[in-house]
Amino acid sequence: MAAASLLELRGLTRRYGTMTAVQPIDLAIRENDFFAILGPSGCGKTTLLRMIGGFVQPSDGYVLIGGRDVTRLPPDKRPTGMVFQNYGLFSHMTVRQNVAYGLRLRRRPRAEIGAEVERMLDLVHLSPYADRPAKDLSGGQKQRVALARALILKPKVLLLDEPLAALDLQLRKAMHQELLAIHEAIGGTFILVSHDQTEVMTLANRVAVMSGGRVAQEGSPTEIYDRPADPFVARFIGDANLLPARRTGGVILLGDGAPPIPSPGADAAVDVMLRPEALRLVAGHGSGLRAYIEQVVFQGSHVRVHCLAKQAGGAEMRVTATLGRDVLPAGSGQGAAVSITWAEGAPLVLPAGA
Amino acid sequence: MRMPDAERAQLRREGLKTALLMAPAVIVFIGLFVAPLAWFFVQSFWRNATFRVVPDFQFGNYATAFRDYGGVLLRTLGTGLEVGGITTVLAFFFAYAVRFALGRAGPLILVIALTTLFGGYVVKVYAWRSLLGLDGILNGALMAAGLTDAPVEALLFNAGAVTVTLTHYLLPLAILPLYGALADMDETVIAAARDSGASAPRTMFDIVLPQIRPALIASFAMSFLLAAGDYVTPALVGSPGNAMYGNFIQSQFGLRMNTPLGAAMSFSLLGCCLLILATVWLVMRRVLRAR
Amino acid sequence: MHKTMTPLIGMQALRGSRGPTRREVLGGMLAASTASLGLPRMARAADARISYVGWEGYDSAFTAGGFLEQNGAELDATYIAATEDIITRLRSGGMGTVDITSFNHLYNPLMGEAGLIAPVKTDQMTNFDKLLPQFRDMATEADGTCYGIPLTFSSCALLYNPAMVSAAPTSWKDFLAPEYKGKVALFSDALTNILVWAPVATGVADPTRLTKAQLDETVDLLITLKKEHVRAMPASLGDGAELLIQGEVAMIMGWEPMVIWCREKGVEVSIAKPEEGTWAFVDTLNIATDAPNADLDLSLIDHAISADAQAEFGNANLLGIVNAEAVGQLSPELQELYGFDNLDAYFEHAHIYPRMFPLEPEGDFVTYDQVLDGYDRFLRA
Ligand SMILES: Nc1ncnc2c1ncn2[C@@H]1O[C@H](COP(=O)(O)OP(=O)(O)OP(=O)(O)O)[C@@H](O)[C@H]1O
Ligand SMILES: [Mg+2]
Repeated sequence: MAAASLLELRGLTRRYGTMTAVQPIDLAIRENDFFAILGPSGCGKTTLLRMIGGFVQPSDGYVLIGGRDVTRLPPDKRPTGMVFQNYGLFSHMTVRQNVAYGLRLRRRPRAEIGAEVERMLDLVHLSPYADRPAKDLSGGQKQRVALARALILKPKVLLLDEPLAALDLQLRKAMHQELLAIHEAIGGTFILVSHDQTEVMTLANRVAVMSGGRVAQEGSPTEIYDRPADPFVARFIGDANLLPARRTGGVILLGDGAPPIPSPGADAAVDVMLRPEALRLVAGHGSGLRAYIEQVVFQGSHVRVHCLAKQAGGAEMRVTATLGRDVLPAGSGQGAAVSITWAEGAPLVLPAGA
Repeated sequence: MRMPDAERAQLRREGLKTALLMAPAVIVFIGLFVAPLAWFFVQSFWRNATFRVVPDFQFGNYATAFRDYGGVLLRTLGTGLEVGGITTVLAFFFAYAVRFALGRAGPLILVIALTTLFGGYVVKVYAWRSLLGLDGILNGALMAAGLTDAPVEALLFNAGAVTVTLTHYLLPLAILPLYGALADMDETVIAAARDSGASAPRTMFDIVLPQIRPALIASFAMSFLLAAGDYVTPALVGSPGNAMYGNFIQSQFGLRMNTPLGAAMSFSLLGCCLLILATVWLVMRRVLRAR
Repeated sequence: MHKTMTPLIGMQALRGSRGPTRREVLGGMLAASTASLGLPRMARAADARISYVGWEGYDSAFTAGGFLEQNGAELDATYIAATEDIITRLRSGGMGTVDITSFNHLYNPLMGEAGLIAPVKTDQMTNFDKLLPQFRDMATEADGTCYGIPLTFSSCALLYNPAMVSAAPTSWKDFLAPEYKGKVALFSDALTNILVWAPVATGVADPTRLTKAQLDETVDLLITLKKEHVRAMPASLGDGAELLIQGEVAMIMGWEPMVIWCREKGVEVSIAKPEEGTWAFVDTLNIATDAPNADLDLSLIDHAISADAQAEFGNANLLGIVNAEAVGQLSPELQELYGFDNLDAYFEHAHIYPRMFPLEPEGDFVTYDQVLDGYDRFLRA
């Protein structure tokens, strides 16, 4: 058998009345995985995490940790820890008391608790605030207290529900490094819910994209990015041009001037995914998809160029390219004619979707 | 450093404005609370002669209040503590269930509980009397179930009946502040405590109770003071003639027209109540503190 | 329903706290309608406002028959919860504004001597001679002064439920019989308890003159009663009737109107005549010192004891009346209840005591304050 999974979900389901927040989910997460869950708001991420942590009873299915069924165990009997989306700080306690609470329950020696708390507070840059009442903190500070409170217990499974959402970019980047280091140090499984794909790419070694209560795709970050299973996932991870087309006789024609894309399979409507950074622009209408520049947006080191092209059927479609400033063709102003080119393996053909 | 004149004038205007805004509250407070109390406090050191009050300064009234009526005072405070304690505990469990356990039915049940506030106090006392009486519903049920063949007399006209009746009357009042405090409480906080490894009872003592301590004290203080100050319920369902301290105060002011002793007894009761509340406050602060 | 919230020490409070009976409500409505028919309301301000401080319900004797309207007067009534309320009112600036009060006759000489109420000129009254002889005699003190005109009487009656006793009680001591343990109820009023139980405990003839030993004996007996025999001390008279109606007690220190209250609830109770006798309550109407409308007040009191007013008052309040000519207009039920066919026998049993306990030390006798101290000892026990 392969490396046994630490956390296993079997047909885990949660219904609220007639609404199903989480469709039956099967997932196996290995020890030392840093597992990220992505998905639009309301797709059931928090509900899934809360079922793993034991705060929401599943309507169906099982949660196994280290092979043991914990589905019916209360949170305090599970080897899990959670950073809640809305913090859940103990408002009548100071920052230090919040962080120390779990260790105190475990009756660790005073000195050990003190040292451990100091270390944690230092880690989340909160040492100067140690003796403030938790209720008097800013949103970002509260989030860091919540993080420290969960981390200090070194749980086997750490559930992070958008733990860095309220932090500024600098602090968030610093926290990314800390989280990686802690994961490295204490091991176990981290499960992270995030809306920030950079964060997901930086931290996770596995990613699940959820949609409408189910897992749309699961895999490594590169797999998900390079080979999204459907247009939804493609759009959700990174930027993607999803160009509508038809497969006819094993070939797809995107539009005027575009090279035919070979694609085995029956005739059908498809979406062709092209990542913006995979596209190049050539001035004038030469070889490549013929288009006109609609707008050029400078983004520091990059420029995004929005172009309008014609589909094979004649309807207009928008194609966006991301280029280094140096490779932008001269005279690329609004309305300029360009040809869009790409490397042979770049297009990914997906079943037509929403 | 000296403040510029303009700034000082500004400050003075602000001060004046604050004073004007506070004036009505201060006047009401002094007129309705301080002045009458002060007047009675002065009188409590005076002396009573037949139907007349003689200015004096002596502690005889206070001595009488504690010596002759000490037993009644203790019983009264005991009733207050018992009813206050039971009511607060029940009210907490009720409010907790409504907030966290009963889901959508919770608010409805709360509203039903609060509607019992209508109908007044005496109606409730009589309702309990007909429940607990010799040919009351409870005795009827006991006899129908064959548990006794004669009605049980011990249900009514004793201290237990007083506690039951007062608790029933005070419960909805005590629920309100507790429910208010619990409604403000984030469920995630409880989840976080459980997540940190606290059992359900630990969570209750470490997290829930400390966070709603002011409401607990408010509920207790209210039910304690109302129970200790009540003398109607004991007269109606208590053991015969088991008068409360309030009865004797009332009798001093009314029947005996001994305002000085009545005032001294009032202040003795007030003082003891405040002392008890302060103790409860201190104990709660000690027991239900952040650790 | 006879309910009360008044915490009651003071028998009179017990009395005042009872709600209006059906008959009172009907009577009130009747009076209102005749008034509006006979005298179309005119936008004329009353020439005199008569201030009455006394028991609720007694004012029906004033309002009966349109006397007030004919004299351009209006009544301002302040109801009391205990007789002491009148004293408090008079002492705290009431003198000069209060016209009429309703002291129990026991208080009259003391109140008169204390200058709170003024002598009543009975010779200027047209109805005084129509009073039943018992009341005409008691109205005047030894020196010939009259401080109050009797308005009504009743007594502390031993009521029992015939269905719950083996034989009609013949003595207050039957309260102590093992058979009725936990089946009797006391009045919760200081004066009534002492005046009824002192003769039982000590055999004294006038319980308003007790020695310290006699008082202690009385209080000890009351304590024994309370601790070992009494089921409840009803907080009001209505409450006492409730105890009889619900079968909580077999006998009770009660009051005549309770018989009718119980009957209205379908429970028949009887009045026993304990050999020790009982205390008769006679309430009077008095004119306060410096009353603003002294002349009108006298006419109004005269009116209140007129035959028609008395009949209306008695029927409305279910109380005994004092005017001989009104007896025939009382309902047969009331005539029987108060034994009007042989009033001498009634008062042979229900004693009219001449005056209150002494307020200041008087020989060997305990003062009123000592009595109240003794009663407090009973309550605390
Ligand atoms: N207690 C509840 N009762 C009813 N519906 C609920 C409850 N909790 C969650 N839901 C519903 O379940 C669905 C999933 O909610 P969940 O909180 O898991 O979303 P999420 O993916 O975490 O969203 P977000 O990114 O906004 O935090 C939502 O439609 C939500 O309205
Ligand atoms: Mg969420």
